[in-house]
Amino acid sequence: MLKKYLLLFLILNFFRIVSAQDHPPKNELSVDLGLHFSRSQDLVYSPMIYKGGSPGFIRVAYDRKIKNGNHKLKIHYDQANTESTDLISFPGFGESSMREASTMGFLDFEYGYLREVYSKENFSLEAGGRLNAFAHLAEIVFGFNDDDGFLIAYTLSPQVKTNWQLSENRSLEIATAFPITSFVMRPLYSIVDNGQIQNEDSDFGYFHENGSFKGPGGLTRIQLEFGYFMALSPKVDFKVGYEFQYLKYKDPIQIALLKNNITAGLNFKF
Amino acid sequence: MNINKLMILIGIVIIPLAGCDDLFFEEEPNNDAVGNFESLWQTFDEKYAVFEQRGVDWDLQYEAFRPLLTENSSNEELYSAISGMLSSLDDGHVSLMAPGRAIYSSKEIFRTQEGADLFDLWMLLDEYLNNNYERIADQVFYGMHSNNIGYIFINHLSDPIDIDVILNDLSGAQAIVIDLRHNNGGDFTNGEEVAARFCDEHRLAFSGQPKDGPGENDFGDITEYYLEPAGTRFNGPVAVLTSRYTISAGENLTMYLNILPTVTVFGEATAGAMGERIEKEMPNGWIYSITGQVMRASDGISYEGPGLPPDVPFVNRIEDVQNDIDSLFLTAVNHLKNQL
Repeated sequence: MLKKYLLLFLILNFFRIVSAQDHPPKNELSVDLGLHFSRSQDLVYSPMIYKGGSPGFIRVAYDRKIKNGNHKLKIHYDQANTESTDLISFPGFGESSMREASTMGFLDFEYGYLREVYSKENFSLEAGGRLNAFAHLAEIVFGFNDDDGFLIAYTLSPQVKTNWQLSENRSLEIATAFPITSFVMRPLYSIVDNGQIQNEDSDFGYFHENGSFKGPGGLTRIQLEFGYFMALSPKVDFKVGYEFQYLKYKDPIQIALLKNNITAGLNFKF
Repeated sequence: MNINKLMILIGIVIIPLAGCDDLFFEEEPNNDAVGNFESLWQTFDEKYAVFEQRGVDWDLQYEAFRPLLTENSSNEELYSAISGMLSSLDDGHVSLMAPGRAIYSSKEIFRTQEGADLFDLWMLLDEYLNNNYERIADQVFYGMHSNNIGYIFINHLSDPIDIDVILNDLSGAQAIVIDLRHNNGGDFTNGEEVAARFCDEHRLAFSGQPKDGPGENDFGDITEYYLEPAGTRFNGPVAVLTSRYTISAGENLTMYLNILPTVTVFGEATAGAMGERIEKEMPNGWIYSITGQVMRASDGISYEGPGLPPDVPFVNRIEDVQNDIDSLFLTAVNHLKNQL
C-alpha cells in the first residue's frame, strides 16, 4: 500500500514540475504500453510459423531537442507465448508430458538522430540515422529439450520521419528505417554448437566472436511506426500508435519475424 | 494527398499485409499424411549427420515408404510408415513421440530391451556392496566393494555430479570401478567433470563436427575436446564398465576416460549414438529427434553405429545374473586387484 502512495506521489509531482515550466520544452519522455502480435519462422528449428499475441509490449523513450536536430534514446521490449501446431501430450519416461508454448521475446535499444530537412505549412520531414542493438530470443520447446533460438544484431539505419500538424492539438507522425549495415549473430545450422558448449560461461563473448558483418540487404528490417498525438496539456500528449516490423535474415538458413504492435502512451515534455 | 487519404491508404495497404503469411515466410508443409512425411524426410535429408556411418541410403528409404501414404492416409498409417523408415537408422538418438503411444526408438534393442537384464544394479549393490552404499537421487550410487576397491554407478549425466565428495567418501579406495552400464546420457560436460578427477595431463578426448548445410557433405569445423586434470585427483587403476545401453553423454564419458593410462574398459560395445540429439516437430505436432553431429574418438574414428569397443569384451550370462553373479563386475575387480 505504501508503495502505491509513493508511486502516486511521484507521478503527481512529476506532472506538477513539468506543468510549472514556462520555457519551450526541450525534452520529452514517453512511455507506451500495448498489444503485441508476433509471427515467426526460424528454419534452423522448424518449418512451422509460430503465432501468438499478448499485452506484453512496453517502450520508454527520451527525446532531447538541440539547435540542429533531435536525439532520441529508446528501449522497447515485447514478449508473447507462441504456438505453431497442436500442443500434444506425449509419453515421457514413466509419465505423460505436455508440449509447452514457445516464448518469444524481443529487446531493442535504439539511439537515433534526426534533423529537419523540409518544412511547409503543417508538414515537416526529418531525416537522420539510428543505431540499434536488438535481440530476438526464443525458447523453443519440443519434447524433452529446450532450444534457445536467437537473432541478435547491431544495425545502422538511415531513418525518415514525417509530421503532420492536423490541428492545434492533434498531430500524426510516420517514421521508417532500413538497416544498411549490421553485425548479426545466429545459431549454427544444426544447432549443435560445440564451441558454445565449451564456452557456456561466456555466451556473450562467444556470440560476438561468431557474428558476421553484413552490408545492405544482408539483414532485412522494415520498420513502420505510426503515432497519433493528442495534446492533453502544453506539457503532456496522449499518443496511440501502430508499429509494423518485419525482420528477415538468411544465414545459416532463414529466420523471419513479423511483428504488429498497437500501443497507447503518454509524452511528457519538460 | 491530404492526410485523410493517406490514412486510408495506410489502412488498405499495411494492415492486410501484416497478416499475409505467404509474403513474409517460407511455405509451411501441409498438415496431412504426405506433408508430415515429407517434412520429416526432408529434415533428416538436410540435417541428419550420420547417414554414412550408419550405412543408410535415405533416398532409398523415401522410395520404400513414401508410396505407402496418400494425403488421406490415417495417423496409424503415417506412424507406421515413419517408424518403419526411422528403424533403418537403428540410432539410439532417433525417436518419434506421438500422442497416446510409447516413445518409438529407432534403435531396435531399445524397443526389444534385448540384453537389458544382463545388468542388475540392485543385485550388485546387495551382493558386492552388502547394501552399504550412498545414493544421490537416481543418478549416482557408490560405496566400497572391499577394503580397497571403490564402486561408482552413474545412471545418467543430466545433472552435475559432486565427484569430489564421492572421492572423499571413497578415500580408502586404491582402485575404482566406474559402472556406466545403462547410463542414458545427459550433459556431457557433467561427465567431463567426473573424468577430470582421473586425468593426469592435458589429453585429446574426442572431436565433434556438426552438419552445417543441406548437402550430404556440408559439415562445419571440427571442434576438439580435451580433458584437463581438476579437483580431487585419483591416480589408482580404474575399471570402466559399459553395455549396449550406455548411450550419448555416457559414451562421451567413456571416451573421456578411456584415453587415460590408468583406465581399462570392460563389457560390451556402447550404443553408438554420440552426436548431439536434436528434437524437431512435424506439422501435426508430433515430435522426433535427429543426430546433428559426427563425433570421433581420440583415434579419429567415428563409432557412431557400432559403438565404442571395450578394451576387454565381456558379456554377462543371464544364468549368472539370475544367480546373483555379476561376472563382468568380478572380472573388472580381479583386474584391478592384479594392478595393485
